[in-house]
Amino acid sequence: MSVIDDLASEFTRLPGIGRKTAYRLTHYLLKIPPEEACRLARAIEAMAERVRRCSICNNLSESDPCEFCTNPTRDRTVICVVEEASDIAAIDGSGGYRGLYHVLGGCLSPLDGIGPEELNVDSLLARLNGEVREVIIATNPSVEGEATATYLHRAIGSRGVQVTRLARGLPVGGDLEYADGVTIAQALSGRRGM
Amino acid sequence: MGLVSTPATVLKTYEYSETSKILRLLTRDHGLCSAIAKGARRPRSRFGGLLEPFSDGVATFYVKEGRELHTLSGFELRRERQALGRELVRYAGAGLLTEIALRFASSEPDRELFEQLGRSLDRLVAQNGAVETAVLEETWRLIVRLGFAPALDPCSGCGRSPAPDETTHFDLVGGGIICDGCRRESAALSLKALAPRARTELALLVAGAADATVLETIRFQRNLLRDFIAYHLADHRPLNSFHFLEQRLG
Ligand SMILES: [Zn+2]
Ligand SMILES: [Zn+2]
Repeated sequence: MSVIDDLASEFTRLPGIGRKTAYRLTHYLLKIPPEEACRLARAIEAMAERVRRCSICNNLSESDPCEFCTNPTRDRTVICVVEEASDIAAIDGSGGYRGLYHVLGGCLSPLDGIGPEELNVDSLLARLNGEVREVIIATNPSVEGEATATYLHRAIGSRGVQVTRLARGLPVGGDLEYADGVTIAQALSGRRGM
Repeated sequence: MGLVSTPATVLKTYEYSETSKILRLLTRDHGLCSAIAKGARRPRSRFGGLLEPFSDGVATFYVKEGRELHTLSGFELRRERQALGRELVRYAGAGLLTEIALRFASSEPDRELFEQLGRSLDRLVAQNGAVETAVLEETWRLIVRLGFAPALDPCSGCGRSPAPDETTHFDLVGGGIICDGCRRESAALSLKALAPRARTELALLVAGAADATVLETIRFQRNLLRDFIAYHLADHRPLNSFHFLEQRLG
């Protein structure tokens, strides 16, 4: 197998990239100056080596604990629970939230065999010490996200912490990651108790 | 074949690329099929909120001969079942029904199977109490509809009907009952003892006559259904949803 085929086959492992696109990307990289291609390779390498999971909130970060968990200006009485680390950028970018985060790593899915044990639920419950007063559940507005919120509400239950859910208005079945900042900020300020 | 429209239930969705979703659908007129909904993950997509698991609608897609994946051009929502996400046993049960359809339905259209799945999901949304009984009963309905009905009378060995108070055995691989006499002669390893009460309640479930009855042998019925699916239908590969359901029920 040539190095060209090699790289193309690596590309086909990425989400949404078929054989044709993989070869298009490979040939693009062959056309640009070699130092540009190397810069891309170094960026991937650095990311793979340096980015890790925060041991408190499971966010992806170069430091452990991550920049949210260590930032003294964040409100430590609120935790916003999201499905994926990529949702944090969308929520934080909305400007409507200054608390902490917790990344579940997915949502409950019977067909995929994903139960609470497969998600970062225990580490969330362990964070509910005296300081935390509210948990905002910001799972996606989908049936799976709803079921996950239902489960978390029950699991957090009687710990003396208020559990809220983002207000409706986010498009059902959509992906939080792609919602715009204004919509997210509205959903945050209109959150309701579960 | 070109553009077709058919009533359809969304069984499962997968994220595809930045913006699209791939759907597994059980359709009335084209059986089990897959369709790509381009742009469905964008917040302002015309598919917004429609393509959720357990939803019913009329799907319009382009069918290309010899292609497995069709391109969805429209989905007109008829019934959403988001409420299933608000209670975990119902959610697990709905997952089980859709996983069975995904694993065992075929691309041959089966109108009755399609309509049965819709009624079963509706029942899980509406059921008042005895949710576990409803889940087991609706699962048996789908299994019967798929052609895997167990033979509960007579004994599959000697053809004799067991007396009401007789303990029999359920043969998980064969999918029927065996009397005590025949059991001694058979080499079947996958037998489960079936007490008279358990046999009566199993017959109720399989016949769809349990309704909201509180079953005395519900734990047994749950285990029997799990093993029957694993041995008789699923090639010893248990269903993910069943495990999820068991964990929710404890
Ligand atoms: Zn952190
Ligand atoms: Zn017999």
